[in-house]
Amino acid sequence: MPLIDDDETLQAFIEESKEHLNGIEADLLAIEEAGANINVDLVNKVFRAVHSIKGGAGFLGLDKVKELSHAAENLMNLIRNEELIPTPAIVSTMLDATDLLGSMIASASTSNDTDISANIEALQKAVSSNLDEEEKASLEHTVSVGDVNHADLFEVSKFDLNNILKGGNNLFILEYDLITDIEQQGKTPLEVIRELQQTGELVDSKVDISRVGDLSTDLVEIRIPFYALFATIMEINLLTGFLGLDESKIHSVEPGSLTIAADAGAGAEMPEEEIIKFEQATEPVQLEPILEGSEPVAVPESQPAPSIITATKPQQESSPSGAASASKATPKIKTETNLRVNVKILDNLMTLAGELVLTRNQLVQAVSSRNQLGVDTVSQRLNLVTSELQEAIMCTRMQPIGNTFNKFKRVVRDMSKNLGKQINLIIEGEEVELDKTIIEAIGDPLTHLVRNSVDHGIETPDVRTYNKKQKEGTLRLSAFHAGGQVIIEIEDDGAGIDTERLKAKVLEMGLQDRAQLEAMSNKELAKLIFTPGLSTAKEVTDVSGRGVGMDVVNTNLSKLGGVIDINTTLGQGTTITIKLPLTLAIIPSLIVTCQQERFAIPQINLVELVRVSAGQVKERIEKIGDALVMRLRGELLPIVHLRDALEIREWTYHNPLTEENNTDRRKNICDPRGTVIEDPANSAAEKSGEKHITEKREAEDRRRNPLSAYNIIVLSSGDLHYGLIVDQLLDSEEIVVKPLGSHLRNCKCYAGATIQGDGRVALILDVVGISNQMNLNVVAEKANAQMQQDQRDREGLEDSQSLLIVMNAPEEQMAIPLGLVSRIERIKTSNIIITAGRRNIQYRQGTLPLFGVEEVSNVGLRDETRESCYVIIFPMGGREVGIMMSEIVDIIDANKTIDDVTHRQLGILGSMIIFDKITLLVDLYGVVSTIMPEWSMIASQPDEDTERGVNVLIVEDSKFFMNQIELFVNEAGYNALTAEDGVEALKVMEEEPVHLVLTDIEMPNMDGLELTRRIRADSRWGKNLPILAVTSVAGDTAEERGREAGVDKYMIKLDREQIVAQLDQYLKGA
Amino acid sequence: MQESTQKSAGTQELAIFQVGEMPCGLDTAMVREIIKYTQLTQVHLAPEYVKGVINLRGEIATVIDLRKKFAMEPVEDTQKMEIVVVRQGSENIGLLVDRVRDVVWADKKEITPPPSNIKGITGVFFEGIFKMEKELVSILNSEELLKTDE
Repeated sequence: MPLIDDDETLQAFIEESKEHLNGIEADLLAIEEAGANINVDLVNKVFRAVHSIKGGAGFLGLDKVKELSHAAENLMNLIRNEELIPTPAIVSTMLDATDLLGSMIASASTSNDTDISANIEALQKAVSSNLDEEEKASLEHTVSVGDVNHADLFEVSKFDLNNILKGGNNLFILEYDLITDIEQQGKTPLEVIRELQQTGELVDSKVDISRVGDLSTDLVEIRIPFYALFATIMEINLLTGFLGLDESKIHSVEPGSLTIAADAGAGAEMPEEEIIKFEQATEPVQLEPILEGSEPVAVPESQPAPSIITATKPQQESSPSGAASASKATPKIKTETNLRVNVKILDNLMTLAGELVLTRNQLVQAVSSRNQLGVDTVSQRLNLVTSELQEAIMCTRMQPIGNTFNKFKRVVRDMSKNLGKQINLIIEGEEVELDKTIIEAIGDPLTHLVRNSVDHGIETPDVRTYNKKQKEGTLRLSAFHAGGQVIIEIEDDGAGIDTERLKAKVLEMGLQDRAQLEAMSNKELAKLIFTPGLSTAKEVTDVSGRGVGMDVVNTNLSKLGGVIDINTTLGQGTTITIKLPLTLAIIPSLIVTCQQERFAIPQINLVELVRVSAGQVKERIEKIGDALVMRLRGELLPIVHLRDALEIREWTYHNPLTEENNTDRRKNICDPRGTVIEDPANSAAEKSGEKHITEKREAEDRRRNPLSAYNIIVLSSGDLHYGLIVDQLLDSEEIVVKPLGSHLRNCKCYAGATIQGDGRVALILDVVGISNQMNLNVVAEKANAQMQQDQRDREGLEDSQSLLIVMNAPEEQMAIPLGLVSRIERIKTSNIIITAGRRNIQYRQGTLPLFGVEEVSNVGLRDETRESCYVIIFPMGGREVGIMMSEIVDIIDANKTIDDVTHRQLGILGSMIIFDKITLLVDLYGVVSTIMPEWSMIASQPDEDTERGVNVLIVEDSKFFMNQIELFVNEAGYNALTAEDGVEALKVMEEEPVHLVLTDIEMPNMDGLELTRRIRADSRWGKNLPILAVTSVAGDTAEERGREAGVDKYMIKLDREQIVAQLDQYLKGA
Repeated sequence: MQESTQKSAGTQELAIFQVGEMPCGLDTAMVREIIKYTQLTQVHLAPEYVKGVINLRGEIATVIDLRKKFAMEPVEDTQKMEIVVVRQGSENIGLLVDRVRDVVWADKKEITPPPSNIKGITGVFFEGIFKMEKELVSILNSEELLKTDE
């Protein structure tokens, strides 16, 4: 039968069927899992899905689709009636059938050419295995049902007919006219079919093209008849009202009068000739047997105009000529991609569009009346509406990743079956949403990764048992949001990647040399699987190892802006982590400049921004070999200059003071350490190159001239973090990504381009590309080695101290232990109120008293004329006080020796050399308590009577800290005993009664932890003696170690408040 | 304009533009538009002949410097230059030329294959020579010209 040339209906059918089929797979798998515990709802769902496909296909003339879905429907029906238990074999048959259905529907126009006999046979076999002989036979025979003019209108298998009639249904032939009954009533054929399916059983349907009049027919008479063989429990009078069909169009087929004529060829097997007659309700229907190659066996003549239902040969194959003509007549089906959008979102979009129109009107008005204020307001509004609109549109593009994930249930099931493995697939985070394009694009890479995990990762059950693992392997697919990205993890508990074998393979293929491989970390080795042309599978299997490798996965993901990461432990499993952006179209990014050119860096890759002032360049940036590294919080970070990465040769330098562009002659960011120690000012001048021409007049300022500072953007490219030096940081913007042309495809440093507000093009930097271009992996490796070396060097040395470096008077550098500071605020000097000779500022609904170091100590005067200053806020005596400083320089970890003699004075604890400068260590408490002695008294009220005679043992190797702590202890009213290390401390404890130990951790001879352990182990002091640790760097791990050894409390050195409070708590409580 | 302004099978419409001293012609069917020199964003690490990228009504177009392509001296003042935009596949490509002169109907009989002495490196870029009244116009082979380096 030719196809209906109706694109719209066909398209709707395809869309609908796709949706049905999408769900089927997962449902079938669930059905299989449930086994004999049939979940009726699920089975019904699948049944209905196949059923609707059958209905639509019949109407559209997709005969093969109809046939196949019909067979599948029969099978599902049996399962539904619990006559058949869905064994894996049966489910496989169903899955195969639905797969074929899917592909047939996708290419609907040629579906009638598809060979479906194997699937039909398999399905029928599955059905018939459960049937008795008679029923089996009925399955093989088709019955023709027709009316006066068309005896063979429908061919129904006898089995189906029996099934339908079993339920006490009435059988009708409905005769619709597509034009008058359907189209003119504003319905679509598919709607009618659905309607019928809801009311009863639509056995079959077809459109009779042969009855469409030709050109000579009167226009009025043109009709396209659409017949439906319909079974329902309703009576005919009910039906007319319900279907809105004229009674004359409904032909009742009475089961009692149905005639079934035996097939001549199969006559021997047929029990007997069966003749069922039926009465025509309204008009006479002629009975006419149709038999292929044989004469009608029986034509009952008792009825005036009976119609006959004849059995014909089993329809093994449909006539080839019919199929050919069908394919000739096939319309070309346009494959459009449609998207279902939540109506709520659509409404929202509509509202926003309305607002946009209003805003435009306002804008037009404001512009025409030259109302600047109005334009400003409208532009703000426009900004708002646009972002909302953008967000709403983005919402329509977002789809849950579950659709993709659920496909893998099938993949894993089929593969594990093929490979004889037992795999439990766990899917998490199906609801996580991603942009449609990304969802579509990650399908293939994910499939590849999953296949790999199943094939290479998870071992066969016997291998697993041998390795003392659970027989069943676990594969976990999960998705979750983290930091504006979506992270997908594929985790298996399989064999892991054998990096040794990988190494051997890489060597063998000559992709890398041995030295390179030796230098690689395990993780990097694992990443080698992304090298093109590499497969470690011992043998090439059907599943993977066919050369299309992980490198394709990697490139595809990179194209999406995704980053792939691999973590593997031999024998325990592999976790592959994929980080993906939420959307590709619009990304937030940071705009930077380099040589006055603008570049965008995707925010997703951004870790932090670091400004290294000129004075610190030498401290923080060093060279390992040719490569630059930066010290950042104790780590070495490879850094690279953007202009080097882009090979910009002419280095110009824009000087904002002179508004000139000068050639930058700096060759190095920093000179190797130790070459220019003799004169720091000189070295800075060298570094700033030409700048010293313009800067000479402010020579004393040169080293801190903001022009010679470096802006470093710390970026993450997978595991690797690196710094990128740029000239200027501009704004953070949302940019629209545009692809670059084919001529620029080989520029790996760019991820695309964008158009800026001024219409200019800015290139988007590819963070991964740059790190590859500059070989930063190697640098990072070296940096790590160097760092480990540093760590070893540092061990056993005096502990370092986090210091806040500030300036009070110009050029007078001061340091404050960071641990004491609760906050730093920047205030306007005009906000300072002077009351009773003291300075205060309104702060957080209270008054914050302000002090200056110069009020107490003999130091340089702060420049009070500046508009703003910084206030270092710290707690003291139950209140917060602030110390004013004119400038904040930096925070550093210093392990310098403190000279507590030379500069020691009231308010100054001592001095040290930081950034080649004498730096005064400020005694925050000293300053305040000198001015406000009564405040420090509140903190601890020494009770002479009770506290005397309480001994506190202070163990501290640094004389400076010892003095400080001793002072605190004495002030608090306790007796201080001192020891320089653990050994000495134990000696003291032998001689004197000790009520509390206050110990440093890092000490020569015996450190604090060891001392604690010894004390805890000794029964004389036992568990009850409070041991408090004072340290300069309190980290979680350090604290953990301390607690394990038996330390009661961790405190920060020089934190007088806390130390005193803790002493009181432990000793007064005792 | 040339004498034959009528379109017929034997003629070809050519856009004539100047690259250095050399007049070049390109089939107008190839040419989408001609724009004035605009703000160009340089692309570092790009092939040498790529002058940069421009914003062509919201699309990014690569601009190819024909002088560079033909191994000619670069010009200092690029402001007066013009960009001939051609379509290749799904992208627009700009050809940076000194100036656009004319559009002519060329009689196909007047077009001869390029002489062997201009074969050389740049010879591949020309598919023919069109004899105009006073001068010779080199007809560009756009396919060869827009080929990407591999």
